[in-house]
Amino acid sequence: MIALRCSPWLPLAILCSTTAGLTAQQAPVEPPAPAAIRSGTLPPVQEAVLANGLKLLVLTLPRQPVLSVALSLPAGSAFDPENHEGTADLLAGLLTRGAGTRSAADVASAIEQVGGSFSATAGPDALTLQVDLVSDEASLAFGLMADAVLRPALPDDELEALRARSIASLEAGLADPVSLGGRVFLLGSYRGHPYGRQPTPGSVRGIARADLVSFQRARFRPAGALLVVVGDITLMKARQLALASFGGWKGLRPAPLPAGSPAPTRRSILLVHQAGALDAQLLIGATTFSGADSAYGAATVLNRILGEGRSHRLSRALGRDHPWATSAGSAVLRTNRLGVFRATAQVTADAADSAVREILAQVALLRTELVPVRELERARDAVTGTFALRLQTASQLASAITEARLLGLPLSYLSSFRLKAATISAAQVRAVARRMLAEDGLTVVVVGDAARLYRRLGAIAPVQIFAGDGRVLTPAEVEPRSSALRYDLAQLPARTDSLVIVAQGQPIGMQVTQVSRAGDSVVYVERSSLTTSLSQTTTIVFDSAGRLRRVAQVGKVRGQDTRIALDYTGGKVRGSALIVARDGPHTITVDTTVTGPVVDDNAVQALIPALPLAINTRWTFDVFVSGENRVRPMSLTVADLTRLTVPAGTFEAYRVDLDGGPQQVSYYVTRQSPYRIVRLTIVNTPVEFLAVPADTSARSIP
Amino acid sequence: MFPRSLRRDRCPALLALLICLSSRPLAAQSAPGHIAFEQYALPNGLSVILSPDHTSQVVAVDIWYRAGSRDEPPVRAGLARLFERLMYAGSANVPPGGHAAIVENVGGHGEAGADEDIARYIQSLPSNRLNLGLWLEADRMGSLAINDTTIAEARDGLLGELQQKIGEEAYTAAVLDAVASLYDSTTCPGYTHPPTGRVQTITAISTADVQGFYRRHYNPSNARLVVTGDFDPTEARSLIRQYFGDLPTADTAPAVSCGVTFAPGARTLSTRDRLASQPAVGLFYRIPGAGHADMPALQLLGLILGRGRDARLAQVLGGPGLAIATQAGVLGDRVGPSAFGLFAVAADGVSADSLQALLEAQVRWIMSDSLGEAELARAKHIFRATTVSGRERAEDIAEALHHAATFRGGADAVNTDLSLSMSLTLADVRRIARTWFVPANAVTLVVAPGAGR
Repeated sequence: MIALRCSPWLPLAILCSTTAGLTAQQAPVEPPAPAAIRSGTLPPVQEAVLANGLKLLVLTLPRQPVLSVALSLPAGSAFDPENHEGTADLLAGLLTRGAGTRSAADVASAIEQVGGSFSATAGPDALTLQVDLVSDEASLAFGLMADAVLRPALPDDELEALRARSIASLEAGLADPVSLGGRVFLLGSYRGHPYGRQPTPGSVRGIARADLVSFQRARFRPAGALLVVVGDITLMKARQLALASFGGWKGLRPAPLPAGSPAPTRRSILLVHQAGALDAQLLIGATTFSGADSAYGAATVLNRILGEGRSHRLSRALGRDHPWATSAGSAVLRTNRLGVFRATAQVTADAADSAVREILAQVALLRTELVPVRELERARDAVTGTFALRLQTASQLASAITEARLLGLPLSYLSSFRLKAATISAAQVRAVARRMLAEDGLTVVVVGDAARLYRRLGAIAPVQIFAGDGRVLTPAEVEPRSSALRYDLAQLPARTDSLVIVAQGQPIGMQVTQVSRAGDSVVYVERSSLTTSLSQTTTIVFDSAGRLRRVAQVGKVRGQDTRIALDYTGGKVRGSALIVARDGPHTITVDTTVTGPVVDDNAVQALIPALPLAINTRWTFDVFVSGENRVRPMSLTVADLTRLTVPAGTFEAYRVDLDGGPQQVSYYVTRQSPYRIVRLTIVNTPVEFLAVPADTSARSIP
Repeated sequence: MFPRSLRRDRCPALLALLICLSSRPLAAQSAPGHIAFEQYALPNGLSVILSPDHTSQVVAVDIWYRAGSRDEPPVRAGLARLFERLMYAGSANVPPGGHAAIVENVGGHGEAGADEDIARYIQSLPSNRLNLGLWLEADRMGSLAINDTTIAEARDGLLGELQQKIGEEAYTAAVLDAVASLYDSTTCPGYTHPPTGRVQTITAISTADVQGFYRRHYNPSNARLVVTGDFDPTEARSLIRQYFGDLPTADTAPAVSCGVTFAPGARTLSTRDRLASQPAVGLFYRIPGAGHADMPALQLLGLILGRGRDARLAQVLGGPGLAIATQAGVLGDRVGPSAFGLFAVAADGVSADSLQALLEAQVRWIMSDSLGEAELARAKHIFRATTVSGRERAEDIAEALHHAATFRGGADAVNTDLSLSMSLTLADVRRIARTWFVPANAVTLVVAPGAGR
């Protein structure tokens, strides 16, 4: 159930309801307490090193006749050559597409023939290949692996196809606020450190086949590579197969990642501008420590408390206590040299600054207060539990052993982690919060409409504004161009339009608008009704010069009459309004002097199609709100041009946002004449108005 | 939606339809692959199978109830599946939603599914939580929170799911109807409606219906509990007696018979689907239930025709660009007579007639001498690989034991069925194909795109 804020102003759609909470039954009997966690029972992992430096790890598990072979090479994306970010990724994508005497199709058939799988991926530290199949095909596994690493075909047609897909995906990512935010966050947290480098369409375009070949030659060496074999195989047999496939592999250990730290930073908010965005993506975090640091256990428990699983702190703070976020969470990302911690949230644009403050406050709370006992226990349970479930199959174990080694962890890690994590204390959680989430070390990224956001964010920390492509922007560049309010009623031909009012897809009412001419005047009539509670007819009269002259409205709200009768002449608005407020009907006598042009709040919708619409234009003007008997400034901003489909058809339409009223409303006005509103949404509610075809306008209002 | 057991397999998600292989049974017979287990029953009728394995620190608590869609009256189609959601509504000692939340909070995960014959409820948990898993299952077996509110919520969820499948996935409704039409509503009422139900039948489900179904089917006499993974059998027996022992006995639910006439005569169903943009054709054959001796061969035939890029349909229809999607195989596990299907969606410019002719040609191909050793060997390799890799996780081993006990004559089949499959010859497979894939045994489905449904 969605909680809607009740608005006394809103002339329609008073769909006020409160969130219906489910009350939990009191459980008379508690679930049984857990047994103690024991240390892991996996057989020991056996190690061997070949003469050429290739390290071999073997875990013999004869339970099922399966085998998983994983080979990792120190050839991750952190080693991508300068300006060729994306090299490791492209290379990984091609290794399974033909090698030795097999074409891409041959490789696919060979692995499918035995019901197995073969993959290659590039992470930041390493490029890892993995083959999973039945154990009596062990030679095939080693053969495919060796061919891919030592004799990859890297066919031109496959390279171009993969490149095209990669570029398309990167381009889409640069337009998508979530991906864009992630990218900027890594750049902002790692600040020059190799882990922050990421591919761009340009860098991927520039990678030639020769570049892939030199990368492979430079980094695919036996010394520094790790071969992990898990399943129904003995150490002796694994060693034999490794020698046969990789014994002839030569080369010195490749250069390690140079030591380095992120460049120092000053506290600021990185604001990535997306004009017209109604939502904002927030990413807040910092780099952590090296992969083998013993604080990771506490960091994992902290992460569970802050942003993982059910009812974590971020979802409570941003979703339950305040209805700001549609999603929120956090993650601990681990690499060999320097990991990163990231909290994320998707919030409405208006709540972005409050949400940033709240996330910073939640992080500060972890630094200062000890986590309560029950919350800590629950987090430890979840962390130790999921760890166990991820170590069941030969394939999972091969990946886990590989990853542990890449992070610099001892092999005993897999058996001892659960016991250690089960004893992590609240003091340890607080200590790791202080260490990795220090206030002046945090990177804050916001992706949204900078025009809406930068002032309010600026109250939290200095803001730097960027375009999606990384260009620095000034505040002036992101502000919509202000225009004087000038509308041309001739753009409103005499016509009748109908809109169906829907809530969550169900029709709940109808609105019919009619523009006609009466002598010199233009008359706009709007009839609205909601099935449950409301009907009203508004008549607005403009003179031949387009000035507002008269507003009249009669209606019934929940059985009670309402009425507005206002005259706009001689610098004044005069008349009366009978409205229904929370505490019953009120008659308001209106006699107000207005300086300059003023629009009645009931006339705003009539005027919008008459405005000269162009992207990023804004009009700020005064509106007389009859229900409140006062003038308020409001603004209309042309935020977007979009294509939408409503019952009346498919249209290209400008989205015009109304701000300054109790509810934010978006009007979608057709780009082509006849200019009409084809959709209207009330932001943060499930209510929308959709234009229906002309022949339905005669349908009686439900 | 079709055989939901399939969704838990690593099945190609090509069409949501899922004419897919259920590769449960068949274990390796020698030491690697052997599943050791013990079985017994409580005085109240609960069957129990225990299969410890201390490789990983995980246990699975897996209960199957004889509570499938064939046990519901067709006018209440969807009743069995309602319980997939209802079983999370809470019980005497567990708050609403607690069954899922408690498991997730300890790092475990759970699954529920109801199809034609059974309803399954599986929890995977870290092994120091064995007692929790058993306690949760016993609580909802004995005191599920069935009332107007919980039923209404479950019903809404079911309707939403139905809308999503039928309303948004092309061909699904047509295929479900075609398969249901293989059976006769007077002799085999249980299988003549799909487990998904329909809007009218789901809406008609009353509180009394739900309470009745729960009483008749969700009790120890109609349930089997399997526990696998890292646990001590003595401790498990003690906990099982403690939590389940006092649940009252009930009558065994009446068996639902399904009489079917094989090869009654060829039939064609033509329908339109406004969600479809291309014509599609399906050939559906009545075949015996999962326990029949011919089932292993039929499973292999499904692989030969439908699994992977080198499968027959992919090679002859997909590769040359005649079909944009193809699938084939046994439609899930059933105690009663089952179905085998071939399905293809036409590429641009290919008519339904030509597609039908192509599919029929492939059926003739598998019955002919053109089906060779290479195809059979490939299918056997894939079958074995899928089977053994589907027996590593505690939950998968539990499912394999249940499957053998329910569909293959007894839990022992888990250790003997794989060698049965591996020993099938080309002559066996051809003979079995010729038995069941005769035109008189088929319903042909032709789906045309566009409005009119």
